[in-house]
Amino acid sequence: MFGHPALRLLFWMKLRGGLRLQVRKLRRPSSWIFLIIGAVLVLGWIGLMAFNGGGSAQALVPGDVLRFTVDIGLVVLVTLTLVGAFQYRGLYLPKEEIELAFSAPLERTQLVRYRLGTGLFRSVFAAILFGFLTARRMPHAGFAFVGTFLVMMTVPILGQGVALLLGEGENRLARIARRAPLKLFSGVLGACVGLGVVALMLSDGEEVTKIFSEEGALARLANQPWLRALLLPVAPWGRAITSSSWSEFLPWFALCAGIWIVLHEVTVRARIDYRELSLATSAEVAKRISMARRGGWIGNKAGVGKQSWTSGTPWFFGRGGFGAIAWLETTSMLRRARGTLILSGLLLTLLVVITRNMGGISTKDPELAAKQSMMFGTVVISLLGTAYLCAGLKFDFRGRLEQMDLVKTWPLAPWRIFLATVLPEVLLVSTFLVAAMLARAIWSGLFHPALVAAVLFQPLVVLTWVALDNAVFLHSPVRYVPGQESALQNMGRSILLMLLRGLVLLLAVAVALAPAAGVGFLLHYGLETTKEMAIAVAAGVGWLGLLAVDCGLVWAGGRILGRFDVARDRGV
Amino acid sequence: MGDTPSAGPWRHARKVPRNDAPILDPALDTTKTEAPTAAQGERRAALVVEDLSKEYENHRAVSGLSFRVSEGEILGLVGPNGAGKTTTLRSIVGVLPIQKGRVVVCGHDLGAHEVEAKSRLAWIPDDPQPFDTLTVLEHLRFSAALYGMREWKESAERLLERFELTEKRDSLGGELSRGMRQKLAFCMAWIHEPGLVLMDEPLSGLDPRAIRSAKDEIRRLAQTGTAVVLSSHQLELIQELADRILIIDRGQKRFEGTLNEARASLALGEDQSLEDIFLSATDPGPYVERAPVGTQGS
Repeated sequence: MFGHPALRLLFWMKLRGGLRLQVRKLRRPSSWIFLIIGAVLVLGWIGLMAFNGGGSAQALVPGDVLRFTVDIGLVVLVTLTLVGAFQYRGLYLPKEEIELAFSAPLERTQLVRYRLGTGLFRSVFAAILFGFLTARRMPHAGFAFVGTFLVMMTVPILGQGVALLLGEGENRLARIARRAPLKLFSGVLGACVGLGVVALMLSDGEEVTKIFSEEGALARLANQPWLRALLLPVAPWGRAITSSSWSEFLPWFALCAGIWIVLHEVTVRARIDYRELSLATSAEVAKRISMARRGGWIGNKAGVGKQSWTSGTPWFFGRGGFGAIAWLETTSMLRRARGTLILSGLLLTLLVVITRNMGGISTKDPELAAKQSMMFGTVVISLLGTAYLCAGLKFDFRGRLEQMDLVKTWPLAPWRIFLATVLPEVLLVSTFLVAAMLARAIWSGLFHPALVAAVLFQPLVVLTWVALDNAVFLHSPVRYVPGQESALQNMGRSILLMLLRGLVLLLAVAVALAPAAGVGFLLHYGLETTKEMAIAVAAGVGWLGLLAVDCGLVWAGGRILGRFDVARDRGV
Repeated sequence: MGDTPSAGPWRHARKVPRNDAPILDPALDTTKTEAPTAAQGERRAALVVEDLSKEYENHRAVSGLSFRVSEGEILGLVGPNGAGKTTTLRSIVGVLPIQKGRVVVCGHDLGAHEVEAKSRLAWIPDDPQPFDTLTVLEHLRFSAALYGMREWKESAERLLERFELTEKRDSLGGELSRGMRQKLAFCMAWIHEPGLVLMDEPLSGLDPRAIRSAKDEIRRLAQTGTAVVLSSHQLELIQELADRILIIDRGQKRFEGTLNEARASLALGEDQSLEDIFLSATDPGPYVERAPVGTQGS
């Protein structure tokens, strides 16, 4: 399975070494605590995924619609895999293996076999997880599990095969693909699927049942000939997963297993010189992993385009030290996060569309329902948008860990460095979200004073979020990176930090809003002012309270930055 | 399940010492096609590079490069940044595919008999990357397995001792300093006793004691008949170790020969260093104070 005996030895030694490293990292009690939390979370999540909602789909959804839904899921999976193959051409080997492997006396087929073997080994966990996930939702749990397992074992081989084909230096298709906006495509595809799921979750049960019914939209879609043709390549796996009897399952299983064997052997034996692009892919992946481990987000650190949008970024915050830091962050964002910004714009547009008619509770009063819908939509845009954009952009300390040596030498008070670093991101995210809120209001044709309040509060909400996130990160700059060593410990640690952050956030909001509530209560019930007046004054007090909290967070962030130790806090 | 190497050359890579391996193609026995220089003596060629070219998307990194290295010889490869040194070395060791030209390692054409050729060479890149989760000793075990060595432990222990890594034998790759990583790379390259070793900036990151030790090891390696190609910007190192030098610039050969030959061809004085030669060969200009006519070296 792993080609050359030395590669087999390497596989086992790496496996053993990984376990040994885990054990070495468990010397302190805190590591045990983080490990246990991480393990409980992972197992709990798997348990929830596997055993929640069992039998619901098969009970509600007719067979044809179920098969169609599974086929659609498979097509999305295959499409994303193929897009990935276009992005990472050749044979990916880690940076510590590639030069050694390519200069060693190994046949290329042996290297491909090794790569496939290790890749499939890594996929086993995901395959089992997805197997459990589908098992209780299909007519026959065993067939669904085996079918899904086969899918998850076949897709990596397909991806590797295509990547190898594209890895040939002179491959024209690869050259064309390099110019195609594949990242954007996969991002939009993934986002559409995600938002579709969110939309289904936010819809009421009756609507969902109707969509999945025999006469529903999906059934009608499943009868379209062009769509049937599109789904034909994945039909064997779909059939195997949705089989309900042995006689139905066995032929499809045999076909899928046969395809697996053929695909594996064709991929291994293909006479392709994949070295050049493999080196580029390996270097690119190593760079991304390194950045992810240092706190930068994997997706937003692509190289700066040759033709940047911004030949000269304006100095929004003056020409002094504060302005220079803010300018640096603004320039980094505008030049390096084009993809993320475009994707964010698209996602916010979709969010506006989805929340357009959502949240109107009152069925008797249409005007009230519209107001409720407006409030609900605005809050959803504000909260989801803040969480998503702040997690995606990270043009602050979370992406600057490599330059902390330099940051520590900047001749400014730490709180000013902290504020200057986070401010551009806060303003950009706020601008996006305010634009989305206003767009939604204009589209629905309904304005309300609450919208003005939301617009005014938005920058402070984002500042609270970003400042807190950065302060926590500077305090403990370790992040969970998929596939890294001690992933469970880091996950447990991240979860604890997330809970801590949530707690501080709640505390901050309470500190900011408690006086506001008090003032409002006093005005309305004590001084008997009008309700509108009381709300307006309370909102003003709340705004000032949140501002005070933000000032406190910036001060605290500065303190933590001042104590940051570049020798110790390396983010690994 | 895995491939069983039938008569894979790595199986007998160690049994066949150095250049005694059968030459698959008699035409590749280039020692007979070219008169050896004084430095090369009667030794056979461990490496023959003919008309090597390598083009990237928008520029030519190496253009029609030809040279040879005899067994037991140390060739210093020098050139300015971006001259094509690393590309040349990576093409020779098979990391990069050869677009044009031919590379013959110990009588085996890299293009036609890739595995056989690779089983006789070793490559030390400029920034060796050990496996984070493997111990130093496991690195050597893996390296020995790659080249089909069954008895590896004794050689490994000996190498660890020579490179002062014995105490670190159970340390993980991820825990090693830059210098230790470099030493480990030496050990991994040395373990199968290759016929040709190519090194890219091999002494960077080493402390003075380790540099001395590495230089001694390189000399010792050459004395046992292994050919060495040494690429470095540390010109004093090249001057000290290399029997001959190869200067390349913009992917093309500017000079190949001994230091004295270089001085003669560039009309430089006997006391001119490799640095002067290098500057003169790559960008003749105000850097070199030319020796008066009549006082040129041999």
